[in-house]
Amino acid sequence: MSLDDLDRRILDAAQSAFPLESRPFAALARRLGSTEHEVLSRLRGLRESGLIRELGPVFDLRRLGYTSTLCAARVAEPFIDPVAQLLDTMDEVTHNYLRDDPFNMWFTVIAPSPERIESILARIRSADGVGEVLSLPVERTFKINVQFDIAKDAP
Amino acid sequence: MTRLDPWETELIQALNDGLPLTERPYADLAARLGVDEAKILARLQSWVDDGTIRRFGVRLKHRRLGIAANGMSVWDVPDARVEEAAACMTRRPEVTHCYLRTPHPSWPYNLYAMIHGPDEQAVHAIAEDIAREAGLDSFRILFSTRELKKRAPRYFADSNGDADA
Repeated sequence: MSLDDLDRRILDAAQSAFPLESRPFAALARRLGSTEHEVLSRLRGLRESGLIRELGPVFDLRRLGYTSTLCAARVAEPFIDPVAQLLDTMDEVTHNYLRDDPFNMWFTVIAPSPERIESILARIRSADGVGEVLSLPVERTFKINVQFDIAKDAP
Repeated sequence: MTRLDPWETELIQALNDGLPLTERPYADLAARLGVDEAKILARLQSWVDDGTIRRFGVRLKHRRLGIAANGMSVWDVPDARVEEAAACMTRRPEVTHCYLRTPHPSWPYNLYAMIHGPDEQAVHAIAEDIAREAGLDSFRILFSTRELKKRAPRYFADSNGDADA
């Protein structure tokens, strides 16, 4: 899809520090020299087109008592789709990517306890075509930055 | 860890799907939960202030924005040099995430840096720069060939029956 200048400015402005006030889209519109109606209809369009997943908070999962880990699995080629489908049904699996390595499936698991993560991994390990599965939890975070400069990066 | 009252757990649960795109989204949430809008706004603000909320805004599908190559570089770094190596990585804007992770006998890498660039070649060039600067030679870059799933975690959702602890 093509973004016009206002789309980009709205996305830029709404990436972080979204207004915590009664009419946040009106506040955003004031900042952008637009109207509440226009900002809302643009955001709805961007969500419908799939460019925006949601608008909301990104929580520090540890603060909510959750724990997470990055996992790497060796999955035999013919079983990639069924294993991907299994992971897709699991709420606790949030990201899953194929990568060019013998450990070809990389996914993250987020759950309220390490025991819960272990039981999810046990289910995945028992699926057909799944070989070794590594769990590689974070020991230290040096940087998390999920913001992009939309105005510059967008095609 | 942030202490949560039952209504706060419900609020987080309601936010799993994001804010409604309506004129008064917080009032709509408040009506659903049977709490005051002002109370919700104050709580969200306090969570932003204390870091319980890391960021409040749109969650994008990055792949669609022309951020073409996304390489996961993994490095085998001796413990004593982790700090210095991580510093070389984090000061680069192309490195969006950098973590120390527990290695494994089948996977010796302990330092991870996500590198974004216009293409794979650019990502390789950045990694080689880092390697030179930090004096490291044991690293690899894994590019994703397919995104199979990406979505926000669902906190206190029904399938996590034991999540209320």
